[in-house]
Amino acid sequence: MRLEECKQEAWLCNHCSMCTQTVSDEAGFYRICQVYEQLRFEDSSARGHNTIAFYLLNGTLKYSGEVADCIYNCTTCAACEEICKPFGNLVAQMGGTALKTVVPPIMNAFGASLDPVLSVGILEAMRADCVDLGLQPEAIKKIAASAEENHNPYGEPHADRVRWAEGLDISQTADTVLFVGCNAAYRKQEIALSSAKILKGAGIDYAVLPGEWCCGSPLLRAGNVDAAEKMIRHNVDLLKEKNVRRLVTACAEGYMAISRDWPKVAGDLPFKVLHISELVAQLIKAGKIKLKRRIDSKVTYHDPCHLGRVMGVYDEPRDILKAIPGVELVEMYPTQHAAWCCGAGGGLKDTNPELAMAIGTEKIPLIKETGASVLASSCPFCKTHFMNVLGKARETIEVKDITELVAESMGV
Amino acid sequence: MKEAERKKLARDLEGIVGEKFVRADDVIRWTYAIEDFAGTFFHPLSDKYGPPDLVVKPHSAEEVSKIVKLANRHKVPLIARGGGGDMTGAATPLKKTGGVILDMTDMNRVLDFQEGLNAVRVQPGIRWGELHHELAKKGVTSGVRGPHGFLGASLGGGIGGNCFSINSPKYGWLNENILNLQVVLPNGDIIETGSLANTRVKDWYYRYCNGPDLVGIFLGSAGAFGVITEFTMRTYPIPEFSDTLAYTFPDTDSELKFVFKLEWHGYVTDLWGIAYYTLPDSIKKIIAPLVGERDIAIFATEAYDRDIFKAQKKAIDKMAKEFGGIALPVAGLTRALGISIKNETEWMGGGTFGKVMGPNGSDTCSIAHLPQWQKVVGKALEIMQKNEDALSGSVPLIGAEHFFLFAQILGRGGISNTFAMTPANFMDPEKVKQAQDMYNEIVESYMDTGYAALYRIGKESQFLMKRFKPEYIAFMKAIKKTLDPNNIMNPGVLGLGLEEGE
Repeated sequence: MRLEECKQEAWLCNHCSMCTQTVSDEAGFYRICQVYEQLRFEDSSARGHNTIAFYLLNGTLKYSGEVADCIYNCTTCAACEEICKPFGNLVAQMGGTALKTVVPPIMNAFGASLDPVLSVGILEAMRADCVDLGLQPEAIKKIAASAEENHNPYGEPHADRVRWAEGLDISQTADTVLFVGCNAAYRKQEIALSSAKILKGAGIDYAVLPGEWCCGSPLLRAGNVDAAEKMIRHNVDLLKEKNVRRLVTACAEGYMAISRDWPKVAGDLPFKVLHISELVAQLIKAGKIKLKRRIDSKVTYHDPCHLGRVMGVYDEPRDILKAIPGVELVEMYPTQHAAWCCGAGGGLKDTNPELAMAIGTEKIPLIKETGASVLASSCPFCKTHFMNVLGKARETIEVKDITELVAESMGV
Repeated sequence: MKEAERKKLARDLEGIVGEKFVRADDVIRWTYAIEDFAGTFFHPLSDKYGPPDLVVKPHSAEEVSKIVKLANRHKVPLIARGGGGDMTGAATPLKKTGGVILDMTDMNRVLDFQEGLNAVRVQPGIRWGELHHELAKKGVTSGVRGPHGFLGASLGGGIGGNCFSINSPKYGWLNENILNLQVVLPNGDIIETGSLANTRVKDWYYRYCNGPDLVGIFLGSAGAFGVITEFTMRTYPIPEFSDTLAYTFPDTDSELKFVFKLEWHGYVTDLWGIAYYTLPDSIKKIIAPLVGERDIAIFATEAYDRDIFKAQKKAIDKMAKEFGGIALPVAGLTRALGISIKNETEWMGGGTFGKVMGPNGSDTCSIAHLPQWQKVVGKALEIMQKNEDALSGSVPLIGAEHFFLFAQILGRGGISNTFAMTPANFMDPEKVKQAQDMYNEIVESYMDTGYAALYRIGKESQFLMKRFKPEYIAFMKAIKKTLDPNNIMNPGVLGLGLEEGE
């Protein structure tokens, strides 16, 4: 049982219920688990998942279809881990994200820890057990089968992976690689295109690799560990073979997987990993990207969970938006570390699309309250989902990836 | 409960609350078989807890009333549960009885707030953080801010469990702030107490005006006498001026005398005290170079007026010096660092303490009169030192491998709390057993050395029952029998509803 590896972590959950439903004005949280908000029973929160893990570990519960149904209802947004950070409320109100990065190492030096219970890790271990036992939802089986056959979760031919780049004359060898990711390659190709244009416009010598496979994140989040490891090893071997020194991606999901999950499988990576928002923010500062054209819009920014909460990238996308002439950045509440998930993460859009839509729909009032006409994000999955959600609600708010706004302002 | 019976009951419940709000699958049953981890696994009845037969989410007093009537017909226990953070089994059924859990967290609305009433009417499933948020919009505060580290806990659970709270030294315990209740009695009748018993009164919530105080019987009763479906609590203006202050003292006796006087004069909003000699070596190593081998009192103080606030801080300083206190510049330091604290008592425990404390570090909280604190701590230390090997876990926040004790002032009248951490290595069942035995011995010692009932209200009643006077027990049982002849309301809490010797 893969869950055995998380036994110590599972024991650490005190079942205090903060992750189920908490509001903290001091720390900017307004409710935590969007799945719980919809389903309303404790088994749909991290606390409930950790309880299930506990009873699975002590043998009281056995893996079953019921267990699988429950644990696949999660977006892996990690809001539960954010609220679980000991004294997190205080740290957040005292110094926000800056203090959050300073305090833990100081505490660690004294042998103390401010780490939360890693509830998402426990959940993913349970999902992996479900996969081993064949209990995962059909949608997850299909994704794994497609990854095996096509190296993407969508059932699209691998040969079409770089079709979006036809005619762009992008190199296949360079120190910097744009790791496009499956969603931008097959679904939201405008993000791939604008990313490529930005890099070219900034004078960066970069490559796109036709041999790129799925980053493994959709597989890992759903428990398809073996399939994910295959993808990761292939990608790392390919990037090593190409002597890549810097990898840039416009996908929040991919950025998290490459930065955090790949080294666990393939060891230390011989290249630097950047989300494109980090690179663009640097290039704007260095004067290598000129944002010339005005975009006269009120824009609100949705923090992708895996870019924000998991990877701590909050400031760069905002710095970019603020640098675009004409853009007025208006914040939603809650935001940043406490931002609500769009609903599409963790495979939920595939396994329970109605629930994913309901979660996304709940965010519409938060978006509208800002008065923004554009919802910006920096994740193709978030963009896809918000387009579905806002479209279904017949809202006229435009959904743009941050790369699209930058490319537009650069005039490329 | 037999499967056919469960199915029948589920159908009947669905008829009351709708299909979406009734669950009877194994996943949900075991999810609700647990509450606060430390409490559930450390107390002596832990092996007697079990999963509910069903979980149901009501949305109104009328629905609760119908459920109670149904439970009477089926003779099935009902356990009302909020955030599920109880530590003594009050929110979990007994294994031998099972029962239906009423998850009250959808009854979470603010019902009425009128300026001038200084009170707010809410449903019991509202959680502390949500209440603060709603009251802040009205420009007021509840004063008490909920159990330390549990903003996700519900107010209803706090009422049932006699919750002390952040800011209790100034504002009292939660139940001292309750004015009025709506309760579904064990026969299904819905009653309202105090001024609301008068049919002509719609929105005035006074507690003591219709003969005996019937509110009190339901407070701290862990659902033994009925299900609370609405309540009114006091509200207060938000203090404009507040600071966190800290002083060190040469010894624990001086510190306790200072704290006692501080609270007596009404200057303290919330306070934590550290007795140096009780600390693990890892913490001593940090504290000694900074302030010497001295005890520390760190606390918040607040006022509504600038001049009064200044004078109050001056008076506190004078008081501290009287007992050998040396000021630590906490407020000045945070300001110098540009750190603004929105809420001076937030650090007292508004955020989570979950992983800080346990479950590998179960805390045996006690209530004692402050002057007795040293006696209580002395006994607990003695028990811990007898078998230090049992304490094989760690307390993650401080990196301590062993126990520590903490003092905290809890309420008006010099009520103090003591945390004795018993961190066990959960990977080693033998060590867990030893730590559990130690936990129980410490609780027993609390009961004998001070008076500790704080976390013993639920199904850990054996600690209390053997110390209660027989006439008191007989009186409680008579009330229970009269109100709840079928014994359906959370059997086992307060030692009620169990057979002799159970």
